Amino acid sequence: MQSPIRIELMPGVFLTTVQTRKFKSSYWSIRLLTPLSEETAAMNAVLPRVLRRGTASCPDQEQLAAALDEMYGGAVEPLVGKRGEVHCFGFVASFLDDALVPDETPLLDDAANLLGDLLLRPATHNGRLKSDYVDSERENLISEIKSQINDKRTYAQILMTEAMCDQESFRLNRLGNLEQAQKINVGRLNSHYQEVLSTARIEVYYCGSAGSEQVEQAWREALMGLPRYQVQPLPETTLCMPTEVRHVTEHLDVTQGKLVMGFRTGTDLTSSHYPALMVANAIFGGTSNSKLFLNVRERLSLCYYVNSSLDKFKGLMVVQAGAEFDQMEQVRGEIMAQLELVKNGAFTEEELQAAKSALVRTYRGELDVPSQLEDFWFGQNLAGLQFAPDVLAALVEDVDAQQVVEVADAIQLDTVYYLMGSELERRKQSE
Amino acid sequence: MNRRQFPRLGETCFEAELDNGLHICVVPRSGYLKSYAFFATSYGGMNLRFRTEEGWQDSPAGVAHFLEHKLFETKEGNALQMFSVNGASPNAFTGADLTGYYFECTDKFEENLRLLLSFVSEPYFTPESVEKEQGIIEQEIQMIEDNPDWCLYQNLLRALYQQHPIRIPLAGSKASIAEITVDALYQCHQAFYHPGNMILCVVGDVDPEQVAAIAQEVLPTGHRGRTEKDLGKPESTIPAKKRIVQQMEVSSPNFLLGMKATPHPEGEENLRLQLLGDLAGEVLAGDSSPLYAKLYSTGLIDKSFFVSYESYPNAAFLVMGGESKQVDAVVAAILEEGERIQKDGIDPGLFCRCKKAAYGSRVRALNSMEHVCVRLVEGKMKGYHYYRFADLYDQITVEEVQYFLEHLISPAHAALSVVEPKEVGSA
Repeated sequence: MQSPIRIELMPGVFLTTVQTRKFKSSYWSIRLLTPLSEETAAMNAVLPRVLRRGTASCPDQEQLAAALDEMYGGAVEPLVGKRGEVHCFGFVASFLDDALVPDETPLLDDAANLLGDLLLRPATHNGRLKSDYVDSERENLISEIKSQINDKRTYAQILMTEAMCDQESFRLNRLGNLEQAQKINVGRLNSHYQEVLSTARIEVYYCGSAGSEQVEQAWREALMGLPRYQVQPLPETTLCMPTEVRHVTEHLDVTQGKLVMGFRTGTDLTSSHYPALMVANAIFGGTSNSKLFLNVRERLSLCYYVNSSLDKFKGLMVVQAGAEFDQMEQVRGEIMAQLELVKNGAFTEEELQAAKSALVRTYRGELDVPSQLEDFWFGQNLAGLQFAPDVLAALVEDVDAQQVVEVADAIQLDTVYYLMGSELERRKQSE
Repeated sequence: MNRRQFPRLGETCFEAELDNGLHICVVPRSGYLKSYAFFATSYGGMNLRFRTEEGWQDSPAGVAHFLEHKLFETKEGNALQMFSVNGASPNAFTGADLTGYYFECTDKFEENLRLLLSFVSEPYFTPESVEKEQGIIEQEIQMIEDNPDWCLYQNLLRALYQQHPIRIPLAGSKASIAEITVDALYQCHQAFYHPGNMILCVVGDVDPEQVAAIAQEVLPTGHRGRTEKDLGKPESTIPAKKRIVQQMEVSSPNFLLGMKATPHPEGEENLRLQLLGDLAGEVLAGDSSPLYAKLYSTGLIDKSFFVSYESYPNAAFLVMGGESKQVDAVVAAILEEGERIQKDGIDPGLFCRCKKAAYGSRVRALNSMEHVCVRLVEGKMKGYHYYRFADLYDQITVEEVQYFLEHLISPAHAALSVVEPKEVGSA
């Protein structure tokens, strides 16, 4: 696999190309980047879905799906996510790699054109996005926002983040909120669309067997006519520290309680301490060899799942656990006790090595998975970093115990969120 | 080892059967940093009745899944930790008809492979550890019972099947796992975890001969054939129940509509029918079908809607579902589309496109090492080579898909599972 080639295709539009014959598919993405904000989050979330409904040449779902089928079952998915306080939305796509297309007609140009069409040449009515598409995707977005409650584990994490970051734009849901989603209509979305098209930074990505010049050419043609006025700078994600610990409890009709604890680390992916933070998190709760897993789950059998994970852009560490309602306090206490051990350097050389090897495997392994590789390079590009996953793996290998202790020592608890059973359940249990 | 090339897929397989009956399959992938090994037994959650030397045995629901958990505990400690010391990430899953143990690593492949083969084939159970596991699995059962998707699927299986054990939850119930004893675990392990009932599949930048040599060295000798299992009498294509509705804490109704099909024979025909069933599903309700476009544009379905065709020993069904506020209208539209296809036939253009798409999607899916292993192992257990799909697609005709749909899509074969929001005020 070659090192990625990165060029500025047009003002504020960057193309990253990774040439390799390793994969059966080519992997593509195009993302618009804007500051995460309450007013625009829902519109950003709905926009790729509306655009995905039809292009000028394939104006409805059926024709678009037929075009993708003809391209050997290409997949194009709308996407929306947040990286720190940056909102990113657009499309990811995957096509059969040209090296394996049965009749040897390359898909490269068609794939690039299709993505260009989706972004720039949507199906329109009177020069605007089609209102029936906007209306139905608004309803889909609303129901998706509402249905976040279905997966209690993710839901609990969303609510913890809202509580913890209530003063920062990071609190915002990547899908936006209900109130803003309900305000979406064709007029507002159309002007928002025109605005982001000309002002948002755009990241474009290709990974596959085609050479970078061919890819550049294909994207240049596909993005022809993209208006570029004043490209808006992206905000710096803030890394603040807590002043006091907050506790939030919510009741829902669930049989198992969920506990989510939000910590601030003060360290993000651009920091030279980041590899040590990853190791600290892995020792604490990031792997099946971690303190949380071995002690809270295995030794004490207090919960079915317990783990910690990092948000590398925002510098957060989040612990999630599922347990019986009456054991929640014990679980919380045990989690804090395990963190203390990491802070005090009470971990063995084996624990350190195991944590490091798990991270090394993860990062080296990303070179073998097209979607993970794309996500990795997207994060690097956003943070202005240039090293590859295996370089990060090498940095992790160099971390020592002292560095882990130092970075762990700075970790502070911010918010504890409990998802408990309904009042009815509670009364039943206390009887 | 026997080398087989699949040029259309850019893949090569090395295969061998050891003296002890273990089947080995290795797919070399040069340039990859990861290696993936998958060790599976032809035994899963639905295999509750089987034959040993002492005759037919019945086991409580949930033993296969319980074993999967317990095997990680060895005499020397937890295998999970031994893998993680080597930087490998191990895991396991229990399916309806197979249980698979696997790891992925970028270093120390040989050591990890030895570990995988030995922890799975050398059980170590104590009454204390079994009791402790009962607590953990009880929690797991409780957690999945809170999951609307799980309930939806489980209820569909209960509606579709009268007595086929696929209708029993894989993990068992609180009551059935309470019956599981050390003896029951050893008995099931002995019955199903011998090399003759197992398959090892490896994908990565590895030497196939070395994989075979390690397996030969680590695993027991002595050849026993595949263990005989009883799934009960084959069922008719008439479902046990038409409809199961459950109320849960969800935002809007979710449904699954199942159409009970004729089970597949073993051998290559099994794979061909799977491809055929998938293709039929796409032609009927896939995202480039006229039905999908109609339902989506009228807001009856959203992007959660899907169609898939599933087959197991003695069971096969087409399933469609997703979120919808008007479940009955969607069901009616699906049945109507079945009638329309019967009357007007399938658009040949649609058929060709769906076939191209299905082909490309299956090739793309081979990027995933896990996917490759699971498909190859499943295929071997059902008597075919999965990579044959590339050539089998050439044989499937529009007439055959038409015939398949005509005989499947009918109210007589349909069962519906719905999970809907709790009514306000109900306890």
